[in-house]
Parts: sequence; structure tokens; C-alpha cells
Amino acid sequence: MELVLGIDYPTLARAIIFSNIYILLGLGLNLTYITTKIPSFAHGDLATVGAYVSYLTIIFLLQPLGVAANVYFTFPLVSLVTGAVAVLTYVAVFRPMIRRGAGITPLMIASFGLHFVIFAFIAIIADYVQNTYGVLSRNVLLARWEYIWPGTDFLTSTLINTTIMVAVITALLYLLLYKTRYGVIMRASVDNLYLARAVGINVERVFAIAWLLVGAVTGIAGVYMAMFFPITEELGWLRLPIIFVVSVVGGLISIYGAVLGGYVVGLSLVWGAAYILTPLGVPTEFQLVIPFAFVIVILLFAPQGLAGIISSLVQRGRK
Amino acid sequence: MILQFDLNLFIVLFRETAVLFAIYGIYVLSLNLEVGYLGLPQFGKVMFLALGSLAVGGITTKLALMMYAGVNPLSNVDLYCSAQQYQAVAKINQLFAVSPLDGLAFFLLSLVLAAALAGVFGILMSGPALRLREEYLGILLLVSAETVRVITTYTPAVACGVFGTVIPDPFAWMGDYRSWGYLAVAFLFLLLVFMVIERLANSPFGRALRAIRDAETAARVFGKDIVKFRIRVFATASAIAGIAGALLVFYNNFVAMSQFIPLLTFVAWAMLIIGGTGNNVGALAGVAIYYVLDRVLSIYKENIRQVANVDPIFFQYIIFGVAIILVLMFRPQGVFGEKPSKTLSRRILERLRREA
Repeated sequence: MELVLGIDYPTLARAIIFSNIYILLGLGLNLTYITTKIPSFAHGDLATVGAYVSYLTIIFLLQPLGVAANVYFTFPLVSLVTGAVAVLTYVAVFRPMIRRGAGITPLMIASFGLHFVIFAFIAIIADYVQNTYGVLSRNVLLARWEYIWPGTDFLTSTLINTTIMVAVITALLYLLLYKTRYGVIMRASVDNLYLARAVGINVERVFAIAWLLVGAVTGIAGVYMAMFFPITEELGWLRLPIIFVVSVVGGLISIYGAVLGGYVVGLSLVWGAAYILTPLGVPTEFQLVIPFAFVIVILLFAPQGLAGIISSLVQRGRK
Repeated sequence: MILQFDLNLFIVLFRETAVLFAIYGIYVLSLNLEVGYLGLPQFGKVMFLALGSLAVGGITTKLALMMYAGVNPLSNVDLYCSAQQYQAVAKINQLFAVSPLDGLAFFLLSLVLAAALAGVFGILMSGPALRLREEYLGILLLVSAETVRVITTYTPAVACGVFGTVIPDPFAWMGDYRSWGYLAVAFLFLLLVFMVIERLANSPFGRALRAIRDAETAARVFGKDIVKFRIRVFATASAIAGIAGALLVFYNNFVAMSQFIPLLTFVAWAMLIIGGTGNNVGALAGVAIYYVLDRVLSIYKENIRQVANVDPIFFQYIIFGVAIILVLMFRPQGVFGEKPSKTLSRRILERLRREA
């Protein structure tokens, strides 16, 4: 009881915000996994693309126009550009490789090659912008441009905004996948690729649209990431292991596993650091070990993830 | 701008590149044993490089300090790491400078320990490798490698944490010829490892590995114990990677555990994919291609900067990224494809049959 009462508000708020960000990142990764059968190493870089698109739009488009800039004005462009990058990676790399019958490991390595390419492109653009226009293009925080609700501070507003964003995006995904024709087609393609093809579904086009969603969601997550971590070309890549952990803990095969995984990882990361490591005198850098330990245990004993455990429990209950 | 050709500078550049080529060659050869021959998604390779370095920086260096310099680094880790270590190690170096035997003993003990530590860890990691599917195993190895890095980096008692730890130079007695001598040592080990792995790959053991990779069920039907093979491969490849890690530490005479980021795993993969999986010559060719491109770009660095006004290192990333993707798409076997494994020549086989 003491522990529960002892939780202070900023720590709790940060824990939930980080959870929300990880959920958005994990959602994208799970969609990637469902459509392409691989966890992509270039996933973090999509988030970086989103963060940079938002930042550069504010600097070069909104500020010259004299608009009271905030990141939400940039979201349409962020989703479009990051979505386009994601579709491009699918069309240019993954689809041809899958057509040639590439296995999982070659696809994962190809996604790593993609990481190199996207990462370096972002870095080159950042260098170019800095050298040519004299605009600071690294180690900036986007927190400055977060929308602040009247009467609150940055932390509370971000808490509200990220929570709304997660709710809206998961609700939209649910509607899209379960209430529309596209959703039926997409779930059919995922469940049984050959049957879907046999009834005349253009599976590759369906997956290309799924990649557009991957890019859009991940790009938005990247903008929120850049509010807490300085924006550099390594923004997403450095946190990739955590995104993997979120997806695996929740369950790679379920879209909503990411929601579960995000909260488990986000809360354990921040609370673990504040309430277990600090009192024990362990350096807070060790907080990363907590989710890593989680995922190692999950992989060893229940590779289907928390969502898989829950659904199998539900099924057992029905019987 | 005409590049001024400085012979001495060129020789030094060549020598340093050659040492790195040898060390990474060993590292990539061990990766090839796992990836090329057994088809494991080894995305945690850097872990074993780190453990090899850890055996030197964290264990044998402490032993040497206690034996030769009378310093116990563990009695006051902070003081030792921030101030004492430079003088203490310099003292040991003076001793090694006059006594090659002590130096060599230290060197060999370090290598044995590095191989043992990494090998034991490899056996531990082979447990999950037996049960998990490809992509899950890849993630598990990646995350385990990160866990090892975080724990060893932020525990100062291991290898002075973020300060990094200075390593005594076991070849101090070579004096001015140290760099050349170390080049010879590194190549000696590369040759040794190459011969061992080539031998393994062309033995019945190696053919069994390929059989398991290509058709696991069929291999099992023919009585191959897949569990045993995987454990052996993990142990061997990890031990060899541990040796590469130890050699890397002795090359720099310094180690900071924070250097073992996942990127090192993927650089090795890039070299292997471009060179050719399942072919040891190809693996080494991949390392060579990587370093030649790296050095050529670094020589023309300033010229590129004048044209494009960005850091040229990023062009290198793009070149490698595109190269990996193109190789995987159009030539999945790499520059040097896999060769059928060598068996005895037909003449010898027939003679053996007649004798039998």
C-alpha cells in the first residue's frame, strides 16, 4: 500500500506517456509482422522520419507563415510522408524479395540494409539543412511545439494528448479492420494467403495499404518520441530493442498485443527505475534490463506473448 | 585536387587495416559457421565479441594487476578507474618489455579465458535456440546482447564501466616492431581459425550441418542429433568470436564495454552477406570488400565533402545498405557462392572400396 501511495504524479505521468509512445510504435511493428512475417529492423527509422518531417515542416513551412506552430498541424504531412516511405520500402524491397521466395532471415537482413539507407538519408538531409540554411538540425526537442491544454503544464498535456492519440488510433484500426470491406479483405489475406489469392484478392495491394498505415502510425509515434529524446538520426534506431520487446511481450501476431505490451514495458521501465533500482542504489541505466528480462522470460516460456496467453485462457474458459 | 601520395602514411594505413581485417575476419568466419552452415539467425553476435573482451579487460587484467603490480582494482573501483589504472598498467608494461615469457603467458591465458567464457555463454544461449522459431530467436539473441552490454557497461567493477579499462600490452617487448608483430599474430590466428573452420565445414560434421539447415526432418530421419549439433556449433562459433574479441582488445590495449552496440553484429552480417554465406573464402572476401571501400572513401573524404557538404560517412552507409539489399535480391549466395563440400577424390574412394 505504501508503494502505491508513494507514487508521485510526474513519475506516473511519464510512465503512461512512455507506454503510449511504445504502444504506437509496437502497433506499427505488429502490423509489419502480420503482413510481411518479419520484425523489421528499419522500424525505428520510420519513427525518425516522422520526427524530422514534423520538425522541418514547423521550421520551413509553419514558422515563415507566422502560424502559431504546434505539432498537430504537421500530423497530416507526417503521416503522408512516413506512410509513403513505408510503402516504398515494401514495394521496392520486401515485395520483390517475398516474390522470389526469400526466407525470414534474409528478409530481416534486408530490413537492416534498409535501416542503413533510411538512417543515412535522414542524416544527409539533417547535415544539408544545417550547413545550407544554418538551422539547428540535431539535439532539438519537439516538446516546445506540443499543444498545451489551458491551465495545464507540458507533462499533463502530453499525457492527455498521447492517451487520446492511442485511443483514436486503436479505435480507427478496429473500425477499419472489423467494420469495413477492406478490413475483411485484409484479415482474410493474413489468415489464408492462398485462399485470398484464389478468390481474386490482390493481396499485395492490400498489404501495401497496410504498410501505409504502419508508416502513418509510426511517424506520429516518432513525433512524440522526439519530445522526450533529442532528435537525431539515431532517435528510432537506438530504441529499436525496446520496440521489439513491446511487440514480443504483447504478442507479435495480435495488433492489440502492442497495447498490452506497451503498458507492461512503459510502466515497468519507469516504475522499476523509480521504485526498485533507485532505493537499491543501482544506477538507473539498468532500467533497460527490466523489459529485457521480461522478454527473455516471455520468449522462453510463452513465445505467443501476453495476448496469446489471454486468448488461450479465454478459449479454455469457454470450454 | 590531386591526392598527395605519402608512402609511409600508406604503409601505416595498410598495416592498421590489415590487423582489423584479420580480427574481423575471425569474427565473420565464426558468424559464417552459425549462419552459413547451420542457418541460425544470429543477431546477438556482438555479445560474444563483448564477452571475449570482458575476459581480458575484466578478469585477466585484474589478475595481472594483482600479480605484477600489487594493485587490487576491486578494493576501490572508482579510484582505480579514474586515476590509478594508467600508472599501474604502465608498470606492468615495463615488466613485459623485458620479459617476453610473462607477456606471452598473459596473452595466452587471456585468449583461453576469452574462448572459454564466450563458449560457455554460447552453450547457454543454445538452450532457447532449440525451441524458438527463427524470428523469435533473432529477437532473443539481439535483446540478450543488449542486456550483456547494459549490465557490463554500467557495472564499474567489470571493466571500469564508462571510463573503459586500460589493458597491459603483452607484446611490449617487441618495442618499435610491436605493430608489425601484432599484425603477424593476428594473421596467425586468422589462418588457424580459417583452417579449423574450413576443416570442420568439409568434414562429415559440416555436411551434417548443411543437411540440418536445408532439410531438418530429413537429417533427423538419418539419425542426426540436431540438438547436439546446434550446441556444438554455438559453442565453437562463440568461442572463436571470443578470441576475436580478445584480439580486438589487445589491438587497442583498451576496452570500453559500451562499444559493443548491435551495429557490430550487423556490420558482420553485411560483410558475410556481401561476401557469400556458406563459403569461408567468401566471408573473408566480404570483410576485405568492406575495408577496401571504407578506406577508399575515407581517403577521398574531403573531396566528397567539398561537393556535397555533408559527412561522407553517410554515403558509405547508403552504399552498404543498397549493396546488402541488391545482393539479397539478385545474388542471395553472395559474391562467392556456396561450393559443394569437398569429399575424397574419386580415385581415392575407388581405391578404398577395392581395399574394403
